[in-house]
Amino acid sequence: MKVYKLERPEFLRNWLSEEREVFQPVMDATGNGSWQPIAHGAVEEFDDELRPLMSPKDFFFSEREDLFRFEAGAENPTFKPIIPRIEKRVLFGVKACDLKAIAYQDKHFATDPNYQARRRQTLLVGIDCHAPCEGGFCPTVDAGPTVRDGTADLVLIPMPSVAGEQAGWWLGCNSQAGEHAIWGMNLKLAEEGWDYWRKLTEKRAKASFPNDTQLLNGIRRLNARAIPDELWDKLGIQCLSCSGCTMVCPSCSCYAVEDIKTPTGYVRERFWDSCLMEGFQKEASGANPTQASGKRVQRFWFHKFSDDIASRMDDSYGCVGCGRCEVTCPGSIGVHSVMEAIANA
Amino acid sequence: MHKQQLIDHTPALMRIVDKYQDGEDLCHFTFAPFNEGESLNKDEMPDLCNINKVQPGQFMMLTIPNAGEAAFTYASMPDENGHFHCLIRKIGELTDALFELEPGAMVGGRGPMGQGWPNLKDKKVLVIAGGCGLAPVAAKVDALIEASAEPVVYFSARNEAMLVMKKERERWQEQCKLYEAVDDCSGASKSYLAGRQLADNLDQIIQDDGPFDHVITCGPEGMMLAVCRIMEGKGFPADHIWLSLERRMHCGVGLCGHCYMADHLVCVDGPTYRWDQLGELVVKEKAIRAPESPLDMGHAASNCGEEKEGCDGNGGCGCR
Ligand SMILES: Cc1cc2nc3c(=O)[nH]c(=O)nc-3n(C[C@H](O)[C@H](O)[C@H](O)COP(=O)(O)OP(=O)(O)OC[C@H]3O[C@@H](n4cnc5c(N)ncnc54)[C@H](O)[C@@H]3O)c2cc1C
Ligand code: SF4
Ligand code: SF4
Ligand code: FES
Repeated sequence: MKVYKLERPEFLRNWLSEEREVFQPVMDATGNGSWQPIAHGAVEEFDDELRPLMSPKDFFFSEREDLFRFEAGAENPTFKPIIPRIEKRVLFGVKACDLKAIAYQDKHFATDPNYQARRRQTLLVGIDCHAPCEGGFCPTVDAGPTVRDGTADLVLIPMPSVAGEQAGWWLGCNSQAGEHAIWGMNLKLAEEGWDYWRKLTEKRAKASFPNDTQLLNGIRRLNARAIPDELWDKLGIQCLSCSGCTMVCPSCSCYAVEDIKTPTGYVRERFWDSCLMEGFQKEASGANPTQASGKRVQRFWFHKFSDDIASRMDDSYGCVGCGRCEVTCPGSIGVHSVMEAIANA
Repeated sequence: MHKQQLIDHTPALMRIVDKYQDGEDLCHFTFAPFNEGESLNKDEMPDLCNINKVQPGQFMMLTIPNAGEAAFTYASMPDENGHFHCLIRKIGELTDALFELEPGAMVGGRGPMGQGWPNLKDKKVLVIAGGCGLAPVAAKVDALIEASAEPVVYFSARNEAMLVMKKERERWQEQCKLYEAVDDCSGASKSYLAGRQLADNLDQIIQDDGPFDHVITCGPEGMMLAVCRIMEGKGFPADHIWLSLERRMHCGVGLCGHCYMADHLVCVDGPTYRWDQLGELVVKEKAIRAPESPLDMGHAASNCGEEKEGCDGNGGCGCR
């Protein structure tokens, strides 16, 4: 990784926004924050702590989108693919956990034309965390707190703070696309030793994460298949099938499709679906392998923490430790509560 | 980033060229490329109609304009002109709309999808099918006949009216050994084996025509399970038994997540499985506990199959 010195992230943002649309986390009226476009020349400060409740997965795997159009016509009916046309853009200030999730989705959707059309036009600017966020446990699943190699084009690395003062930034360049994007900015190379300080920052951050024994034990027990069905059933009762967790989870990827009539034919839309919904696996015959909600809750956590699934996904777990499901679950079966129950099953 | 060949979610245009009733609420459809009259050259043949691209046991996603999309198995391989058959049961909105369509009507298709049956062309194969499960093995039976592998086919159905694929069976009578069984013999036009006596029937067949190298089975999950257990009980190796699963499918290409089973997506990793592989998947989905709780195949084993009561035979429990 080539590393430069950078006085303020806003300089980089402004440089990138000259030729691209730039999105960054912005605090909004909901109090959850969201990803919003920042115009070139805008003076808006960059909030290096904010991580919106919704991950950026919608930028690539759209919450709702058209896949193709059908035009009726007795002689010449046609099916035409609808591939999104996306201008060059930048996601600015993506945390390590969300970047790991994007890498996970990149693998899952490697052959999906609509996902890839969006992904290939997007430059990722990551940012190292120097302290745990609330509810986060990225180190446990090897997703953070510093940006993992190969998950971002550019990385904002905070210099160690001296007496609470932010001293400045390093800018790590991880890819050719990143290198091209900053070409001409005339940044000075960082002095040797930046990686020593980066590692120290990571060590300090890791040391302040809460105890994760329950999580580790939960993961081990889940993979040992040591969790009795009764526990899943009990957790199933607490699941309201609201699908909130699957919506906020940056690595959930299930979808369903629906045909929507147009004046001359129809379009096929796909939209986010959730394996926690009762009808998810219901077949036309009425058979449903996962009728019991305990089975569906089991599925969700199996998808997140199974070694078998990880081995098909470059050895990454489907959970990146962001803690969002805990925040959103109205039935109190987010990641910490579930893993605690499992660890003690 | 991973750079791989991109897939296409857009169906190819097809036409229904033939349709006839083939069992209660069942129709046999022939599909063909939409433009076939206009000298379709080989490169323009959609993959799902291409004789060189499809294998027995694979399936395709059929689109009915304004009614949606669903998975159907190839009941025959495409011929030189891209014509192929599916046996389709009328069961819901999409199939209702399909049954309204007449020859000439336009439909869409994506495929072929999934893993087909193994080759087995120099092997002695016993094919065991139940109900509509005959469709997914029919193309394989034909392929084995063509390879002079002399397959033996056992086919059972609820009653005589549900003995599907009459034309194919009449042909097989000449080309290979075919056993037919029905559960309810009342009013039958001729005598059949008793469908409910699966174990005895298989004993007899193995005695008369065996030994077999491989078994291929397709039918309600309860029946496949029974076949696997009976065969294993006879010491037949689990890795020589093959079956085909059905799961709800929305994409057919490993993306939508609906067809999961443990760490597999049945649409790309299946739908055909070796019994020992499937056994592993079943175990993966379960807590491993004391051996008094035997393996089962999930929903179908608990409310369907030979030994269970309460099955109304209408498929509500997943049996066909
Ligand atoms: C690999 C595979 C091969 C199949 N082969 C055949 C075959 O050869 N012949 C045959 O008659 N049937 C076959 N089926 C079952 C067939 O796909 C369903 O019967 C069909 O989806 C019924 O659709 P429907 O819209 O009429 O029912 P509805 O009840 O109206 O279905 C509503 C919705 O549920 C979805 N859905 C429900 N069940 C299924 C399902 N099992 N698979 C996919 N989507 C589903 C449909 O997409 C539809 O949008 C196969 C299924 C699979 C998975
Ligand atoms: S399972 Fe929960 S903690 Fe893990 S990535 Fe998804 S939302 Fe975040
Ligand atoms: S989970 Fe880790 S990487 Fe993600 S925001 Fe929290 S501390 Fe940062
Ligand atoms: S049908 Fe979509 S993943 Fe299998």
